[in-house]
Amino acid sequence: MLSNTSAIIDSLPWSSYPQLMVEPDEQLLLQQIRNGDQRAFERLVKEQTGKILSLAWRLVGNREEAEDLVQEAFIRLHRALPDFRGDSLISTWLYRTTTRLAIDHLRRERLKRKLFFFRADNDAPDPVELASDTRDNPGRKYQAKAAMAALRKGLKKLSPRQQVIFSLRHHEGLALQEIAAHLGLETGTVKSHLHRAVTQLRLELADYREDMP
Amino acid sequence: MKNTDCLSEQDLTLHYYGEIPADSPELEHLSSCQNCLVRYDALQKDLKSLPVLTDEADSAAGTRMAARVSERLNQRKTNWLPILGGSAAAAVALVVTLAIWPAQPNAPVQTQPVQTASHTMGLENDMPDIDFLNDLELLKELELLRQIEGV
Repeated sequence: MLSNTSAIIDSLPWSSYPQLMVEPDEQLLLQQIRNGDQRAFERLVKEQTGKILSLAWRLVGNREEAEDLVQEAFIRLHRALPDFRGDSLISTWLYRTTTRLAIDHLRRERLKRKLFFFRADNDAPDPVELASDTRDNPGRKYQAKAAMAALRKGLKKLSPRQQVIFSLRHHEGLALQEIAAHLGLETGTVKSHLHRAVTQLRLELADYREDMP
Repeated sequence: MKNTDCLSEQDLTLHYYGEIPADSPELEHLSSCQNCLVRYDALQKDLKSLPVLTDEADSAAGTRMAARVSERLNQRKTNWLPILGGSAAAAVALVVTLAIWPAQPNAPVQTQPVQTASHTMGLENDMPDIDFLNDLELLKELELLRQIEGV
């Protein structure tokens, strides 16, 4: 759970975002929120949740933890809205905040594992569960589930930053320059992390590929 | 045979993700180097075989999240109420204490008149005795007058 997340990452000031014109609809919504319209903020949350929750879920690999992260991101957004000057899109701010919260969350999880001597293998899926839903083309379904489990396991062995950079590039399709802007890193650093992540994943998944027919 | 112009693994990865400009010398080399092509094909095969993460939020997720966030924001507001109430009570207690505190050194001064008053009251109570004494004096004088008249 993320009860103590807030202390670690500061909400980013709006001024640190690229100069983008806020859409008129969003401008109106923001004005309503500033005027104390609580329903307008709820509408904003409803509109933005789908994309942001999917991102968080893919980054941390767990639905409940992703929901906690997204909730935290929206609360920070609510806190930051009075200072919003309309320089950037709300979705950009949320995307960046959620990504950073995800890295922070993955770091904490890793630290917990180290402290409590959990092995990464403990997270390996139950083989019975993998083979459970086999009504329709059982062989292919089993392979798909096994591949997903192997990828998840491989991702967990990367550093939190490598994991997020790989996911943002490989699964989300963001350009390296955008990722660098989101994470506040140099593009060269992002390139280096991506390369290490790919190398590590190829090693981790080599065994899995050998086992597959 | 690998030569010094061969692409590094990082360059191959960047090329896979479209991060190397099409007119760069790296790509020119790649198109003509069998060794690099084999390495690139292997990388491409591995990355393409990775499953696509299909974790997608359902359509009701927005409504649920809006309820969660509203509840949390309201909690934050209500959480302040006991703190504000406590602070207000402490402030009132402080003001009362400060109001009473300077009065204490004067307390004996205030009690003094009370004591004086009580003394006064005691004297007043004693007044009939004084009157009685006065009456005795008068009686003595009356006796004296009688004696004089008798003479």
